[in-house]
Amino acid sequence: MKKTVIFAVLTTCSISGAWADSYKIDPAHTYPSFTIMHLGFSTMRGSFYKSEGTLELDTAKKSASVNITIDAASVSTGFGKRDDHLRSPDFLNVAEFPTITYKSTKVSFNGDLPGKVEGDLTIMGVSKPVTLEITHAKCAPHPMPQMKGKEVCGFNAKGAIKRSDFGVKYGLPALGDDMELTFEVEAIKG
Amino acid sequence: MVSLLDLPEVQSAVAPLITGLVCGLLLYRWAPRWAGLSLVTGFMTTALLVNGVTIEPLTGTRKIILAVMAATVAAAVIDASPLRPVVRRTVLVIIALSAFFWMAFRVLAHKEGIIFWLYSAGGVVYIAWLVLALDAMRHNSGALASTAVALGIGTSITAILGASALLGQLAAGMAAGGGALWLLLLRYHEHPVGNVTSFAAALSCGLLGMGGILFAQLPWQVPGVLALMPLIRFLPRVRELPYWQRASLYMLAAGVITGSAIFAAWLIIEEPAGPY
Repeated sequence: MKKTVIFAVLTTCSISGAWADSYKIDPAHTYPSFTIMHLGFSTMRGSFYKSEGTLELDTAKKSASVNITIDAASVSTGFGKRDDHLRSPDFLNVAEFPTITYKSTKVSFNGDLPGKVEGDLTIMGVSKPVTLEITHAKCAPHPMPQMKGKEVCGFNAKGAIKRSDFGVKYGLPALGDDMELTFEVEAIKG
Repeated sequence: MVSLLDLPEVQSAVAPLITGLVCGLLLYRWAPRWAGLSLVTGFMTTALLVNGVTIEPLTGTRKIILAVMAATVAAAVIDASPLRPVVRRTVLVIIALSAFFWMAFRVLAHKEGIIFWLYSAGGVVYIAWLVLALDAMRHNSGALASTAVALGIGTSITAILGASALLGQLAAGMAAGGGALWLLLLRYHEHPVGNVTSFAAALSCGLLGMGGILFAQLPWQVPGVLALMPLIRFLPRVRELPYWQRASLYMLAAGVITGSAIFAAWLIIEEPAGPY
């Protein structure tokens, strides 16, 4: 009976092609970042320096999914006191909402690699659909010897949101409502 | 385009002062028993201007606004009810502490061990003290209005130093509403203002102060200094003075405590937050 079940599973897998490959987000090379207009004068930039997540990719079936969890308290704009303000209830409210998440709902392919990701971005507990256009993608064995040829996928993706949609309304309209998001992501197979 | 109502000074000082004065003048004319609602009117004006009418996502800050609204209704019912003092105080403290744990739940849930108990006990002591101490002032309207103004200003400026302008603006709105009441009392003198004033002032400042600690970076020592504020009612020989002198002395004494709290915050927070 046990052998029959194992045989059935293996047969199903071989008929359907293969399992999607699982990748783990590389926190050292994954930096979600944003830009926002500052009082109409200039564009400010910031990044989140701690994130984790997974990528499922099946190039044969052209299917993929991605989940990223960002540590909201890791926000950095290069100026500590402004970062403290961004962590406060005025903006990201990290004490109450320590994480920001992005979960894909649909991935469209451009050739063999993903070209567009539709998903739900959750900030301060509010989830809204956000589409990310992938501007660069590459999957290949890692060239560094210490990585022992592990498969790596890297993506640059861009999207846009209105922060007010997520209930982050402090300083409107003086501080911009429109934010451009950029995700630079690397994920290592296995 | 930034309109007048988008300016923080208008949102948290000018507008709540005007609405507080208008509300207080109307109530003193038509329903003087509820004239203390001018304080809450100021707070709600600021809340409306900085937060709008939205409650999603239900953050701790929005819970503070909702709690003050609900507490004012509860205080009005209590004011109209013939409750024994011990029952009244017990009910007020239970409502206030329920509001505190509702506001703080999401943050306290992430705290462990002694840290959880320190934050919880600190919040309970600070908020219960303010509720009981301001309740004891509800028939000493000059001292109560002075305390509300100074407590609001102290909470506001220290919250801003502690990196949350939002909490600071809400406290300033309460202070402006209290200021409207203080000015009206110069004309209407010792008119009792009841728990709709004392409870709203205590709860809003208590929750905003603890919010500053839990959600931002307000040092815990600051509410410790602000907690001295209600002691101004023990100023000796003040009650024998004409009302305007009495109110001015109460305000002066409360202002000294506010100044001390702001100075303490300035010292402890090495590089205070500012407009970036």
